[in-house]
Amino acid sequence: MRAILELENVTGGYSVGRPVLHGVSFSMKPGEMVGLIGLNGAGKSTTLKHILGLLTAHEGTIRVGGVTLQDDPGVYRSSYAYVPESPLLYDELNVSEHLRLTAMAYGVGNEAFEERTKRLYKAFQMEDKQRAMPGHLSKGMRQKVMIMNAFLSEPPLYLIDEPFLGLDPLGIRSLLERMVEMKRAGAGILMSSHILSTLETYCDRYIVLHRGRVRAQGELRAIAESAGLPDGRLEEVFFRLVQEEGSS
Amino acid sequence: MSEKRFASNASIALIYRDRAQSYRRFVGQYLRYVFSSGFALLLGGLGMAGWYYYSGWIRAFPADFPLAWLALAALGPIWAFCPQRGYLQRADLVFLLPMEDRMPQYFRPMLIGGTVRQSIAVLVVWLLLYPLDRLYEAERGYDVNVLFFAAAAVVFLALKTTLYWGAFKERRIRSERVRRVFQLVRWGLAFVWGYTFVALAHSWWVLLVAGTAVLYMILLRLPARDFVHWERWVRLEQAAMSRTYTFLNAFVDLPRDEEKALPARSWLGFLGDGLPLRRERAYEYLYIKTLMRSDLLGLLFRQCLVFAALETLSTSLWLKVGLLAAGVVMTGAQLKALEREHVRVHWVHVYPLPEEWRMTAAVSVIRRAHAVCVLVLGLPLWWADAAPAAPLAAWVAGLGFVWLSSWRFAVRRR
Repeated sequence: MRAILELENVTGGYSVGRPVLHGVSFSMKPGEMVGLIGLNGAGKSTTLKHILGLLTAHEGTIRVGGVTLQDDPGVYRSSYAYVPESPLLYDELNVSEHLRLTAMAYGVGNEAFEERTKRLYKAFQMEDKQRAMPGHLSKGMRQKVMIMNAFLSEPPLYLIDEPFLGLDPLGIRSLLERMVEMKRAGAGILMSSHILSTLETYCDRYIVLHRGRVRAQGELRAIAESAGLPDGRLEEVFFRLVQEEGSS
Repeated sequence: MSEKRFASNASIALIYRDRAQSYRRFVGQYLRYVFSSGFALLLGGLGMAGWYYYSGWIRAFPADFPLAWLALAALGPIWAFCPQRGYLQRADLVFLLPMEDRMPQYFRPMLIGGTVRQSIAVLVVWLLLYPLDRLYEAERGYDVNVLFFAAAAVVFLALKTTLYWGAFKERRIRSERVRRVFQLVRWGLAFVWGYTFVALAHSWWVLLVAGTAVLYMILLRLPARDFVHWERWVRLEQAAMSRTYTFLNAFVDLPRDEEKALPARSWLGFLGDGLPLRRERAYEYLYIKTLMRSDLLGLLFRQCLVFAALETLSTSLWLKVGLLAAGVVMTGAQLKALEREHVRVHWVHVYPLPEEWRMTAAVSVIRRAHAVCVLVLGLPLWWADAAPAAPLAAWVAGLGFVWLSSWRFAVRRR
């Protein structure tokens, strides 16, 4: 099966002289949910920014849907949806207009748009907020709008950065249900989060980033073995991996 | 203890002064771009043309002129419009909130400075209105002298101060609905006072304004209010900064990262909603919605209104055409700021849309909005005593200018 996301030996960051990422390599197949974990400053958000094309890798290649951003920006960008850590909304558009803009940008048809928005409003309990402007929404609600936009376009890859911040318990449940649904439909999901217990429940594989390098990757059993804790929980394994590195 | 208290009060007032100074410095650094753009020249030209027209009009002042309505239009807004800059920021909810009891000291420089500046504006309007009032009263056999001018000025300033303090107290009212009612009362009073200044005998007018002003101040004490309505002050400051950015952006490209709480303007919600869900129309949709909710729309509306009013009041066809041309140029200059929106927004780099589509869509929306401005600005020519060819020609020329300037703008930006 062809990888939906491939990073080959990516070195990059904000300035060439001080790279944040050092030779990062991993790939994702369709229908996989992968947890990207690491301490603050490990390079998770920088990795996502490179995948999004907001930062250019100093070295290495990034492919989404088999193409690089330079090969075919249209195919590359329409292959993923992104949920950032902090909600980023247009101040000038209300909730329903954000969804409409996303539908236009991704070429979602009228019928699919009507059906999906109805479902998303209900799932995230935002039916009465359709005309609300971002300035009048709480942080959690703004995050819900971001998530709804991501799920509206139904792309083959989801890039989700710390999605649970500010979400209420129902919002978290709706998000996780939707992710499982999309995964079953064949989408790949790369999710960065510090809530390790949730990642352990839902993710198939993990990539542990530490100081800009991939410290370990694979299924829980594989990374647990590499940490010397064959039956360890994700949290224990993660601590061991980053502490070992830190103390060495 | 009292000395310490005094020092604290002085320092909180200093915070306000520092912020006001920083704001002036921020705007000041861009003013040279504003002036070098020809904006000052245009304003100067308009001022001189206005003065020339005004002095000519005084010389041939028509006896039956409805001066009461002019007093309403000139004095009403200058009394009711009470801008107040608090410079309060979101972070103040953490750092200044614990010092809430000392906030009157924070606002004191604003209240004193604002009252002085706005009183000067009232005096300028009264200076312009006075010669007309003198002629109007003379027609009716009354002698209006310098003593009257001074007495009226004192009452005018008292009324301004009353409404300015009223506007400050309004900002403390807890309920948004009640605050809006008081805002309406403030504007209503100002217009009634302006109209009745000419329509009523002066003694009756003094009684009326004194009575209503006292009643207004008493009524202002009734609604439930906060000591400082922090959220509202922060919102007002964001709106004021947003207007500053919109104005300056017409002349210079400014980065703008702050979050804005924009009005929904749901009555304009239909604009853009008819566009098909096609990728190539996405930026067009974004720019239509941006224009619809931005300060730019209000700015354009006011510009069109002022120029259309001036065209209507002017008697010479050439002056009308000149004003139309000035209005078209000014609205075009303001509209160009729209293209600078969303240039630095993260999302435009994430959406699967080519950058060149953004530029094309922005220019297209600017062109259409500018064309609407031309049509509105040309309307007063239709009810002027001129052959129908004149307003038609003005419209065609204006639309030609719109097309040409948007084409040049697009070429330059590429």
